[in-house]
This record gives sequence, C-alpha cells and structure tokens, in this order.
Amino acid sequence: MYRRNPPRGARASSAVLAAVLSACGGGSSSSLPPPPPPAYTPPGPQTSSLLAAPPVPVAGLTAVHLGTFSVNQSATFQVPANTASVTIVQQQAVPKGAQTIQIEGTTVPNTVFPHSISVNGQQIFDVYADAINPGTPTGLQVYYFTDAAWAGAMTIPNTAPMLQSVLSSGGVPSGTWKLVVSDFANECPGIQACTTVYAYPASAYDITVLLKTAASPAAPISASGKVDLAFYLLTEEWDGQPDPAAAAKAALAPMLSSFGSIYASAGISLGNVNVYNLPASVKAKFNGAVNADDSSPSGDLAQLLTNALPGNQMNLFLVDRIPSSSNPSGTTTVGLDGTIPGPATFGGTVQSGAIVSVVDLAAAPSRVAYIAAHETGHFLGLYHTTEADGTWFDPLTGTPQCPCSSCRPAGAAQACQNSSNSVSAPYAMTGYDCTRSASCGGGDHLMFWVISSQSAGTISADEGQVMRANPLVY
Amino acid sequence: MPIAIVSALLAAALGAATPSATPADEQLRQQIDAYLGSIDTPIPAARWKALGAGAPAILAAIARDARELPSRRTKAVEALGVVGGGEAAQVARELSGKDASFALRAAAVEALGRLLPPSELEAALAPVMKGAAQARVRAVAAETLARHGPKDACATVRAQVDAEAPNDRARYHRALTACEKR
Repeated sequence: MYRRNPPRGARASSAVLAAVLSACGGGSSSSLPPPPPPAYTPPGPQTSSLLAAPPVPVAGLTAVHLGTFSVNQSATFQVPANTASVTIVQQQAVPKGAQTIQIEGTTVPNTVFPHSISVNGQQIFDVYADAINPGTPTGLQVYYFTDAAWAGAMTIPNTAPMLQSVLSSGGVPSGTWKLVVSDFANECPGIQACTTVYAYPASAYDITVLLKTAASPAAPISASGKVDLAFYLLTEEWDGQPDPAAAAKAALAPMLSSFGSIYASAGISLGNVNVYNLPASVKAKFNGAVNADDSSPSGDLAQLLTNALPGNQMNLFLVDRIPSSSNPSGTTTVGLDGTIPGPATFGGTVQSGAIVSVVDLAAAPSRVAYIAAHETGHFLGLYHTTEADGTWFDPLTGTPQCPCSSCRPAGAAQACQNSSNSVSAPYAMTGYDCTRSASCGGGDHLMFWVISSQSAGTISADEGQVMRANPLVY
Repeated sequence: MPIAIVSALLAAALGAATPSATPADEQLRQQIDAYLGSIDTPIPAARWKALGAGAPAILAAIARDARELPSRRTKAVEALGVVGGGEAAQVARELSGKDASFALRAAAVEALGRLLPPSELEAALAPVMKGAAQARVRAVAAETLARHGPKDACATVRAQVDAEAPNDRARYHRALTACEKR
C-alpha cells in the first residue's frame, strides 16, 4: 500500500527551467570554480530547453553526462575504485511531462527516481522497497524519500549499511552501475489508487553522474571540508539601503558565525559567502512569500529556486514568509528545501537550493543560523532524525530515535500515529520528549524536526559523513 | 563559537516555558511550543484544532507578547485564525493595524480573513489595502479580501491594482487570480 508524506524538505520543480543545455560531457577538473560574479545576473533567459546549466568543474569531482533517457530505459556508467560517493542528477526533458499525479485523491509531485539500481548485476536499490514504501530505512543500502518533481538527486552513501561498506572498502562499489529510469507517473499503474489527470507524454530525463574521488583508501570520506554559501534576497528588508546586498551581508554576519559553529562539529567550515539581491520583478512576483504547499514544478518554491546561479554552492533564498495556504490552511514554516539531497553543482533547476525565513534575524540570528544549517543539512542528504509523529526516522544508526510509542508522555491528550488506524491529529514529539533518555533521543540534533530550547545543533558522526560525501562539500 | 554557546543563545532566544498549573496544561503548552518551533513541517489545521479549548488563550498571549520571537508571534496569530476563540479576532485586528514586522502583520491580516464573516471583512481590510505604507502589506490585504471577502470586494481589489504604481502591480497577481476563480 502506498505510504508517503513524512519527510518535508523535498519540494517540487518548475515548468520552464533556466539556462541552456550544453554538452556537459563528463571529465574531471583539477581547478576550483571561479568566484561568483559580484552582481546578480538572472540565469535566464528561459529557453525551450528545460535543463539547467551543466555543473561547473569542481576539484575532486568528475561529472559524467550520460544523456537523455526515457522512463524504463537503462543507463549505465562506470565507477572507478576509490570513489567516495556517487550522485545521480536527473532533470526532466519533456516540457509537457506530468508535474503531479493523484494518489488516493491527494496531489503528489511527479518525483523522479530510478526504478532500480544495480552494481555489477547486484541490485542495491528498488523503488518500491527503498523509496515509495520503505520499511525500516536503517537497513537499506540506499534510501530515497523526498518530493523531487522534474529534478532530483540521489547521493550514495546515505544509509548506515552503505556508509559502513564505503568506510571498510575504501569507497562505493566500483564497476558497472546500471539504473532504470522512472518517475511516479511511470510507476502509477502499479500503485494502488494512483491516477494521472491527463494522458501526459512519458517523461525522459537528462542524467549526469557526479563521482567524488575518495580522500584516501583508508578514509574515503574526508574528515573535513568546506561549503560555499550564496544568499539571495527575496525579502525587501534591505531594499532601502544604497547597496542592499552589502547591507544584508553585514547583517548576516552574526548568523554566519553561528552557522559556522554548528557545521564545525561536522568538520565543515564555511568557504565563500556571497549575497545577491534579486531583481525587483522577482520580488514583486512573490511579494515576500513562498507558498509551502505547492509541490508542483510550477509552484512558488520551484520557481524561486530556478533563480539560483550555476556553481557549487548552497543556494539559500531569504524570504519573509513561507505560508501554508492549502485548504484548510495550516501555519507557516521558517524553512523549506527543494529535495533531499539537492542537485549539488547545478544551479537554476527547480530544486537548486532552499529557502529560509529572516523573520527572526534581528532578534535571534542564532535561530536563523540553525534553520539555514538545517535546510543545508537536507540539501546535503540528511533527513529528520525523527519526524513529528515519532513513527518515521532517518536511515542512519548513529542518530538517536524518538518513537512516539515509547517516548510520548503518559497521559498525553493526543494518541500516537499508527499504521493500522490513521490518527488525524496525532501527538507531536517535542524537544523535551526527545532529550529525556538514551532511548528517547535526538531532540537536541540539528536535524530534529523542531527547534526548541533543547536544540544544540548536534550532528552525529554518520550524519557528518553523509554531509561530507556530498559533492557540495569540497 | 562552540556548540554550547550556540545552544545557550538559542535557549535564551526561545525563552523558558512558563510553568503551568497542571500536567495537562504543561503538555498543552509543550505541544504548542513544538508546533511553533516547527522548522519545515507545516502544522495542519486539524492538529491545531485538536489541541482543545485551552489553546486559544495561550496563543493569544504569545501573539500579543512583544518579547516573544517574531516567528512564534506570527505562527501564533496564524493558529488563532485556525482555532478561533473569543479573543482571536481582536488579537488579529490589533496586529493587522500595527506597523509591526511585515510577516506578523501579513499573518494577522490573513487570520482576519479566516475569522471574520465576509460582511465584516471588507470594512476591516479595505483600510489596510488602501492605507498601509508598504505595498507588500497592501497586496496581502488585497489577496485576503479576494479569497475571503464578499464577491463584490474584487471590484475594490481591482481598483486598488489600478491605483498602484506599475512596478507594484505584479504583487497583486495572487489577489487577481483569486478573484478570477470566484
């Protein structure tokens, strides 16, 4: 039976993407990317191509462009020994492909994922077992659970077993990797109560594989690294200043200090930080708000993220509000990311970054830092350690879990969510509940679903390895 | 800056929970704090409504308290728009009329859209739509009127669009889209 909804983060893609497809023919580069331009230049103009610009060269990273494949076609590529991670980036190449599907009456983004992945003939990923309806994610070789319509990325390793294999073997399995291209619309006939509203043409995806070279055979995932940040001002907070980007950069300094402290515990330092003021036309279009509910490729978030510049940086869009305007409406969030993980090194896709509310920046820059670090954690491949319901956890074993069934306070008014009897308003696990004992933990972690007085920005050792295995960290 | 300091700063920013009279009250407050502290998980209306009769007073106090974090006040007034309660409309009116942060004011305007009957909404929001200093606030009021006001409020919304400077008219596309759907 179809089961989906917990992990937030992943949100959809856009109707018409930025930039021109050029042959991004693979190969590695030994030079670092050039510094970003000093002023923001929109990635457009939009063209008939749906595809974002190819990745920029990054030291230690080999980009292999496989070409465009229709769903159900196979794509193969070679992974050499001593490769720390493999990232598969897929982008929709069919302009009229399905943006969403319907499952049990609910609109679901048409997420792209491989139907299967095998290495030298041995299967390591199956879409039903590892993505659509995963059981216990900590036992999987590969885990993929995110909304990723029209553009998606999958970085391996991202689970406890695969991390262990990488660390003991000096890298991910080498040899011939084969993936079968698919998406939700393609899998729909095999999913109960799944429909597509129209007879959309079958999707085809442009695929690029990013191979990250191992730091050393003994320690394939580097113990340290840097991440570059790019902030984009959708907020009009600094628009009255002579140089809004410069004023914002000064105002962001305390926040960046906190951000850096949080990531330092994972061995990651902040590299280049740039701030770009988005054009007035973009600001007027969004009026400071990004609707959190529209996961379609033409939704607010996806459209905003297409403004991300090419380059290997974390793109963080600073906004005033992230309302939930579905019917019946809920309440706003203070962050939201495109997909888990994000398409590192690709700017201008419908998933190229995350958004962060600046509403608390003046009063509590450390809180905004926490949110930005959390959303960047999603982009780097991290899931919530425990989701709100306390029934869904990340695929790592080094992060404490906080199951509702054993950690909910006795006498709580709300019941725990359960698979056999869906509760419309289940108990939500709090920071307090999840810092009480060794068996009820994770409430202090950066990737816990809530920021609370128990939040300490904790990043576990295996979370740090997943982060540093991502191409974004250099 | 060590993590311990980050943690301490966060704790100070978040404030300590006020002790409540009963365990049930304390649990309610902790659920509300969790909802208000959600990072990227929207809290659906059903969850707010299930908190029961004690929630509106706590939310109203948070929304009104200028010492609270703006994000908590913003979410609290939004939640009042969902759960209602005796003070809800008054709190939303107060915050929609003040030049507080844009986010808080916008949330209050939208809460009024859920709390007031259409017949009262135009009187409450037309002054905001026409008189707020910031174009972005005016546009939020217009969108709320377009969604929740009486049908003929769309004529007022369209007139406001015509009165705006050309560069600001794009802010009204959500309002105009809502009017087209009515």
